[in-house]
Parts: sequence; C-alpha cells; structure tokens
Amino acid sequence: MSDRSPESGRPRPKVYADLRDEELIALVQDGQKRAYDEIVRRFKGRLFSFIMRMVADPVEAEEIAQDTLIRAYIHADKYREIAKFSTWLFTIATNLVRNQVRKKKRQPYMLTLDPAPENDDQIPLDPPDPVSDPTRMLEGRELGELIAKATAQIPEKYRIPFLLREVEQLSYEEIQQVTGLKLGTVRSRINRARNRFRANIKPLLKNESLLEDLERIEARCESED
Amino acid sequence: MRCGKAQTMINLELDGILPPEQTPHLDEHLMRCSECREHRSDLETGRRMILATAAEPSDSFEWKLQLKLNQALQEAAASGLPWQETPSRPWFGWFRSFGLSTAAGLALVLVMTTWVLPDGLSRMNGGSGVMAERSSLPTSGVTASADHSDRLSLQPASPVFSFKGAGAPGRTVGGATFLSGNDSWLAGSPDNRRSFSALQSEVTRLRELLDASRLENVRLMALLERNGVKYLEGEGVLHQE
Repeated sequence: MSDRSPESGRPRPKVYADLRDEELIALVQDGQKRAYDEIVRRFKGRLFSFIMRMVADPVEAEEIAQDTLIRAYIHADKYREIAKFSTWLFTIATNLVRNQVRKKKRQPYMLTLDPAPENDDQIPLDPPDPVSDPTRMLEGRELGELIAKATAQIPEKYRIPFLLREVEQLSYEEIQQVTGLKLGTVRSRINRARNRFRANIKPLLKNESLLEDLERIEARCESED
Repeated sequence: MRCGKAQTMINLELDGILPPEQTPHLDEHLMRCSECREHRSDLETGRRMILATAAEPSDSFEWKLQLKLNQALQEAAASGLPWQETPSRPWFGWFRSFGLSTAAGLALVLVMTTWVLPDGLSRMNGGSGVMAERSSLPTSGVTASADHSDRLSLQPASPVFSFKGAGAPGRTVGGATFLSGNDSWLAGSPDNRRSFSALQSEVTRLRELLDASRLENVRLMALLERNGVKYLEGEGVLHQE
C-alpha cells in the first residue's frame, strides 16, 4: 500500500494519537476512516459530559453526542482551519442541544396513568455494566447528582457559556464563536452563571463528607493519569 | 478597590487572563476582605467539583454510533441528496399546527363552493352530457362553463391524468390516457381504479428495487474501502491503494 493519501498526497500517519485534532479532521476529509475513530475516541467523553449537563438525561445525551459526531463526519468537508476543530464540534453540539431543549419546551408534560407495580420484583432493573467499577460509581454518585442539580438550576442561556468554559476550558473567544454572542456578553454570562452556581452549591461546600469524596475522586483521577 | 471589581478580577484570574499588573491590587484586596476570599475559594471548589463529576458515556456508545453513522450514510445514498436536517424554525411549529390547517380548510371551502358543488349540481341537472360537452372545449386558461354562465368555473388549464378505459377520448401514452377537463378522475370506473392500483404497486416495487440497489452499492463501497481498494468511478476500474 502507498504511504501517501491518493487525494492530497499527504503522508499517511502511523500513529493517529500523536496528531492534532485539526490534522485528524484533514485526514477524515481525505477519506481516512481511522482518523475519524481517533476523533471519536478523543471527543466522545467530552461531548457526552457537556451535553449531559445540559439535558440531564444520559440516553438523550448519548444520542445528541452521537448525532454531533455523525454530523462532523458527514460534513467534514465543510470544516476549514480558521477555527479550532473542538470549537467547530462544540458549535454543532450546542446547536443540537438548543434544538432539543426547545423541542422539549414545546412538548406538553405527560403524566402516566399506568398503575404502580404491585411489588418490587416487577420493577425492571438495569442490566449490570460489566466494565464499570461499582465502588467507583458509588463514590462520586452523590456528589455527581448534587452538582448536576446545581448546574441544571442555572438558566440555559448562562449555562451554555459557563459549561463551555468550566468543563471544556474553551477561551472566551472560542465561546464567542460557538454561541455567536458578543465577547462582553460571553464574559458577563459566565460571571452570572458562576455566581448562581456558587449560590446553588453553597450548602455542599459545608458538607465535609462531600468534600472528602471530592478529594478522593481527584486523587484517583490523578493516579489514573 | 470595591468588592464588585475584585470579584470581576477573580473571574479573570480563574480564567487565567488577569493582566499581571493587576494581580497585586487583587491580592491586596483579598488580604483584607474575607468575603472575596470566600468567593474565590467557592468558585475554585465549584470548578473542581464540576471537573471531578464529569459523566462518562456507556460502553455501547461507539458501536451505536457506528450503527447510526452507517444508517445515515445509507439514507444519504438512497435519497441521492446530501445528508442534512431542516433547520429549526420556531415560528414554523405554529404555522404547521395552526396556520397550515386553517389555510387548507379555507382552500377546501373555496374548491367546494367554486368547483365541486357547481359540477355536482350540473350532474344532477344535466347528467353525463355535460362531461361530453366540456371535454370538447378548448383547455387553455380558465374557461367559462356553458351551464353556469353567471360564474367562472375554475377548469384546470393543464390536462388531468387518467387511465385507459375511462370512456372519454384523449391522448394515450403508455397505457394511460390524458384527458381534458377534470371529470374523468372524478368519475373513475372500477377498472380504472384497478389499473391505477396495479401501476402504483409496480412503481412501489421498482422504487424498492432501486433503494435496495443503492444500499448494496453503499455496502460494496464500504467493503472496498475497508480492504484498501478504491473504485475509480470515471474510469470504472478498481484501484489498490
């Protein structure tokens, strides 16, 4: 097999993990499917985490994250290196999230009239995940739920730039590109969201056991890195 | 320095964009303001909490993605159009749910009052003679009906599609007859309906066959790609990479 891509004549890389995001998408544009696999590997967690904090539903969050990655593949030819690839990708994700949130607002609230199961045996259980470590899940679960709740209470228009900054560490300029807002608006919305978030987590900051949990999680993450 | 300004500077500091010359001013304020110290500490802990509790996708994420991607590519190939969704338009939801149904209702009333009802009445009065008389009329533009001289009848200017055996004279193309006027399809015989449904099912069968061929084409192209073989469409040859 040739060492060069037939379309562009670019050298065919052996290790995709060493490449920048922008180099990977250029290879996808050349039709190299394995470069796309690397993009998926890099971004699936980040996208899922960001979207999850916006829609607060893991199934929905996965679907939107997958749709984002599908769009990135199908419209790869539309990406130009005038912006970072991550900015482009999060713009797609943000638009999909906004559409979803808007769609949800339009849907009326449905109340189920099914009778409650007679006993607990009738309640379907989620199949156990063979890979996940149960102790690890329990360790951060309470803190995770409380933080998800505190985040969900921030109004959507503040939450998007806030999460792009806090979770994705995008710069103000990148957030401006993703959201289409003015730089000053981005800054003020992030500041407002931070103040709201601070007010929401204030009771948690006095909870010693949660703070210990936080330290344990951080220590575990550091050791994994 | 006021606390408001100090808190703005704390935000800039958190984002790593506080100009270095302003750092001593902020530090000085924080030395003597416990409230701002607490503010900064809370924001830092909040950020740590967010980062530490990042959710992870399920293990099935990637194969589900692969499945959806294949489906999207097949749909794009089958439709022959680039894969895209219609952009979301908030006003369109209202238009679709209310505006369109109102417009459709009004159009129906208009058609009933100016087109169908007069015809129905004329049929009751004059029977099939009206149809024979009308099909011999020239079909250009809107024509005035002889039996309704007090109003304009909205006869379609273009020929209406009908089928062989409709009983009225017309141009026959591929087993189907094009007739002038609109009465032929309003008064379709059972034979016509049978021919129509047979043709419809044939069209459906051919469309399915075409879709299946397109899917097969996509599958084969994917197989070639996986094996490092490229199909050079212009030349109609396979090329080993």
